Amino acid sequence: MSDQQDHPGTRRDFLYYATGGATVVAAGAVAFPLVNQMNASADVRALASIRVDISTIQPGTQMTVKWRGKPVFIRRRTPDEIEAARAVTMDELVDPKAENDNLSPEANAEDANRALDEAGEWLITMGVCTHLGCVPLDHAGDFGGWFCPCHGSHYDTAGRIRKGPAPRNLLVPVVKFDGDTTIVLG
Amino acid sequence: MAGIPHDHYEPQKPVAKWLHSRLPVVGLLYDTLMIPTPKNLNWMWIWGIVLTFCLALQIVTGVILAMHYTPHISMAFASIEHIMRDVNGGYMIRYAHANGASLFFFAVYIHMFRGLYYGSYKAPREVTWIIGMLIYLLMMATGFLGYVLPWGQMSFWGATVITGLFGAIPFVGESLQAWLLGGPAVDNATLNRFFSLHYLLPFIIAGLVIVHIWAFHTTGNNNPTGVEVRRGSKAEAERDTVPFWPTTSSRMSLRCSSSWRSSGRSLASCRTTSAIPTTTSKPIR
Repeated sequence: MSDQQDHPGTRRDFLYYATGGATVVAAGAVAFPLVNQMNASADVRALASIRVDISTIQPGTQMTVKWRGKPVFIRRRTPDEIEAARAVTMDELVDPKAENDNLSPEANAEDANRALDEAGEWLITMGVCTHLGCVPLDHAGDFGGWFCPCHGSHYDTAGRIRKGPAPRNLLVPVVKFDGDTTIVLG
Repeated sequence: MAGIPHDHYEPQKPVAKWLHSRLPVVGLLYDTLMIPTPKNLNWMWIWGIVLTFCLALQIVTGVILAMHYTPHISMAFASIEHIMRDVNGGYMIRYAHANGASLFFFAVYIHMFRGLYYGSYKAPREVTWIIGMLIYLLMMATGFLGYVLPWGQMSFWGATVITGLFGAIPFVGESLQAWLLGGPAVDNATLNRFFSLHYLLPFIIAGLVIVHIWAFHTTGNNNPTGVEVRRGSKAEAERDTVPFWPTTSSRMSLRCSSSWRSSGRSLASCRTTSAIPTTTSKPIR
């Protein structure tokens, strides 16, 4: 050891680097589970996709379910409501985008791009006002769709923002039919 | 400052000087880590570091488990199942916490045996020993409290039996037991306070550990010969000791390296005359 200064000491250098490298690997191996444990746990992830029985919903009513911690409106529209939604022209809309996660971001906000089925009977949207996140009241407001009591946003029967401070249409989540009476959210 | 004379931290850079004149925290760390330790320490001197590691492990894993645990009689066991099955890596963290507690006690018994065998409890290190005994008492309390938290059968009856020991105290026993339990029997109030105290006590232990280290840093380590290292002057002390933190941090990254460092250092110190009548300063390879 006393001749340490006389040599480049490559073996010792190697040991230092090897020890340092092993330390870094070990620290990473320890740190990963400590961080990862705060990610969503398996029981939470299992509810990322849920099935909802919609057979009991009558035309002209709405059911609210909780999905990923937020309310989802499942509304069975009457022929009048469908007709009213389809009569609206694009230039009347505040937000011209469909805001439908099942379609491309460019899709326009016509009623066919909002409703789940071709007939337009089923409308499924997030129950979260796009202004500041309150839960709007159904079958209310100037357009017969939803009315947000917090700051007075009015949505039409296709869940599109028509009046008030909200900037975007009610978001349509990823959803599809599984049979005639069951939908799958997520 | 008492203890073995050694070099103290001298700030070099302006920023370091600025900080040092206001808060000498770097100096405190430096003087703690560079404390001279007898060069003939053997493997029985690693247990203090093992125990420090155990305490850190228990606090880290314990804080994490508390994120997922529910201290309520109707949900506690379910939340343990949740940790074991649902939380990412939760089973590993819980096992580390449970087995870490076992390692903690394994290490503390050897640590105490070391103190008895080599006379580390004797003057001038009585205060270190007494603080150590306080820590041991708190460790037992903390371990017991943690054992109750899963709220299984063993937890419940363990809590019943151990708090029953207090009930055997004459005259005040029954009142004392009811006070501990928060009622006539082990119930939700018991579980809730046990969780609170199980979280609190490790931090009191950590505080006592700091005082424990402070105490033996003041007296200097004992060593296997029982002959004190010389401390009349710095030059004299340097013949008998090596700094705790030797050359690089990568050496210390092997955490049980207390002995490893002194063996590495005793090689480096072979040039100096070994002044202690050594029996154990031979390098360990």
